[in-house]
Amino acid sequence: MSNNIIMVVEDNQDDLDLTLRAFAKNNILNEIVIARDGVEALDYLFATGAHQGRDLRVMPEVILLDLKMPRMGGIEALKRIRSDARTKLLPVVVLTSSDEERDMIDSYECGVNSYIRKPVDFNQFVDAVRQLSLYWVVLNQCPHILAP
Amino acid sequence: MADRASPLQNRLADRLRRPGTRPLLFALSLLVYLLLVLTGKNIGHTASAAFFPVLTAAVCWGWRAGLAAGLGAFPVNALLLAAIGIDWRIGMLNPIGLTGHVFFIILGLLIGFLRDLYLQRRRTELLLEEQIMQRSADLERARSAEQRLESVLEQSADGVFITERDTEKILLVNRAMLELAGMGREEIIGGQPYCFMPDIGTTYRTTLGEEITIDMQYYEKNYLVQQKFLEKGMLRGWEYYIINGRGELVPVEANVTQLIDGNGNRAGAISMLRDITERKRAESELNRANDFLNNIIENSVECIIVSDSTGHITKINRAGLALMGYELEDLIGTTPMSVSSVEEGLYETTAGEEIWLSREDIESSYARMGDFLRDGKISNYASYLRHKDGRLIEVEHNITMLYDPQGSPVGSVSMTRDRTMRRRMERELSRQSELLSQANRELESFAYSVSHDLRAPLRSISGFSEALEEDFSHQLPDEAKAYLQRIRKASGRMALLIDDILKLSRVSRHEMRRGQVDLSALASDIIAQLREHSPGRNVACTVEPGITVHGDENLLHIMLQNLLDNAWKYTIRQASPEVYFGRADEADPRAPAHERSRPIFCVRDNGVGFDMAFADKLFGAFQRLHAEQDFPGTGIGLATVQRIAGRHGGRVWAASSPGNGARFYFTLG
Repeated sequence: MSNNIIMVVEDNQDDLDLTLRAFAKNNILNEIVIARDGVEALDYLFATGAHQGRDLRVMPEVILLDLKMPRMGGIEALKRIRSDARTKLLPVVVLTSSDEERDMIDSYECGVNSYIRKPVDFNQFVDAVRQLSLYWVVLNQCPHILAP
Repeated sequence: MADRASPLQNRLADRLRRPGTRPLLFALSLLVYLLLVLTGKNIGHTASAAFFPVLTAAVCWGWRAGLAAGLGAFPVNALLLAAIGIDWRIGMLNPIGLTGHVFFIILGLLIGFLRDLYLQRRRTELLLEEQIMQRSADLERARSAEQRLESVLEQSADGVFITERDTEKILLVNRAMLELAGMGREEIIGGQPYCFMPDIGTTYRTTLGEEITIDMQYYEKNYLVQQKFLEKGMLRGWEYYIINGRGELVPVEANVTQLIDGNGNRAGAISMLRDITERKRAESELNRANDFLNNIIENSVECIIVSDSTGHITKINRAGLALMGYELEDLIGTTPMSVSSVEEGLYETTAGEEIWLSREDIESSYARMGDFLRDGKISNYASYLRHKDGRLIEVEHNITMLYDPQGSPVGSVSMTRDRTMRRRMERELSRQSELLSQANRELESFAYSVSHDLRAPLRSISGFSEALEEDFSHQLPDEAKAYLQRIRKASGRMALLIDDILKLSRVSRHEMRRGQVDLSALASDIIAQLREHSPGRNVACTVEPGITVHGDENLLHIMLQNLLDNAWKYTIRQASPEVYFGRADEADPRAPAHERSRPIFCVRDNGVGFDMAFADKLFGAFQRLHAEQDFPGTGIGLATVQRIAGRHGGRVWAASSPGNGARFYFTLG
């Protein structure tokens, strides 16, 4: 489990800290890759920009994606991920404050695997993070398509 | 000469020429005479002498006859002389001798002369007699003609009277006239026509029921008419008033003709009067109908243009003039086309827009005129007129061809609707709807940011106060921990409020998808869920079955959810709680009349109820009538219910009193 990377794409430092705290509280010890917006996330996934030269065979087990972010939002990042052969099968979970139907429809239309609304209450939030980590990192099986 | 003779002379000549015994006698005596001449020796002279006067008389008569027949005296005399000559030659003159012959001849001539004289006298007598007979026949004829005329006049339906020249005395009056004037014959005969004329300065009621005062003008007008009559000798269709037996004015139409005597002098006048009350009444009905029609045309807000068969304007109403900015005289006699011709180009419209008219636009507009010519009418024909100032007026015509009784077109009437206001309103509407959708977009982005951005800090507040409590629990006094609890609770409530605001705004933004909705089934589902969530409660729920409405199922679900949640919640302290959903008979006290027939639905409970003094606050967002600790909630439920009813075109209202439960009524448009 520790070998598997969880990617968190989140611009809000508080939310990021709370997410990491929730991982810690749930004893999730996987490597966490953090991106502050869609652009950073794609740089990591496609080994461009700051992540130039990264080993593309290493891919996150699951991507937790916020929707509302500066530069590039979650929906746009999701579209890019789904349109590239190297990343199109990666499990992506939208983790957002929004429960707007529009956001859910857009997310699912762009091929998201799961849509989770962040609860305001921290205990509930911890619980949500625990469940989704357990599911996506432990239970879920997915093919490992690696870049050539 | 005979053909120029008078009929009397002809008849006389006929009588004189008439073949009778005398020509026979003449022929017989001539025959005897000839026999005597041929056989004279045997019979002797006596017989010859005896026949001679007869012969002579016959010859004389023959002479007259010859004269009358135009043969002249000469041939007959010559014949006589020839006879005497022959007689003498054959020696038969002896017994009486020549003297005897001459005597007989003279005697014969005398007889003939006397006879002529007699005939002459008879003829004169005959002539006189005939003349007398003729005259008496003429007189007879004249008398009977006069009688006939009088009888015709008497029978005439028109009132007739004859006046004498100068004195204007009435000489003759017929029954119809007596009836018309309501007077006796003896009152009228010998009087003047003024006897049935109205007096000046007097007010009368007419047979049409109007009040009319005979003024100077009336008399002046009639005086002029009379002058005209004197010039022309006759008048046709002179309309004036006479007074009838009831003292009413009767409108009459008079035809007056001068009577001329045998010498060609004016002898008087004959007036024939016809009561035209009914015609006047019909005319006034017609005028009223015309006025009515004209009023409609004039006061129509639509422009009405009437054109003749050549397309020239014969009538245009006020709205039409106002629309096009012209005066009546500018347009009468012109064609709509001539004042409103358009060509390809850029135009400013009366709606304040600029539009480009292409050749195709104009041609397709004209092309529809073909439909009109074929069908005799055209509806909603979009076209253009030009205002006097040159601006383009977008209009819509309904044009109908007008026909005469034979079916030939005599013109057309066009009802023209100005589309300027509609265009302005359309523009205004599209501006408003643009504003509205902009406001909606703003609301959406606001809602989005509320949903997304407002919750994030709350999560930080809640999360970090939790973290503080967890990580620094041993350093914190209990009071601080209690404060942290309250921070977490407040942020939780705020999250709830945010969610409810979002729900309320979603109800407004939600796109309506209408269909048949089974409210009874929805209510039963909701109640089943409520039971599931609070298994400890035993609420007697009644749902009237089979209530279906036309509406948006999602919204109606939210609506019933809120109402039943409330009923469920506010009956919690009731020993035997009851909740009911169904139709209600109570009318909406504030509903306008046209909404009274709508079905009314009701959610009723026997819970704590509320004070009606605060009823107007019930449906406001975040308005609560109960303390949070008594009955939890954000106060958004009934605001949501009201919005959903409103979006369905319906209303919601409530009735209650504290402790007596609450009844929430709604309609759905």
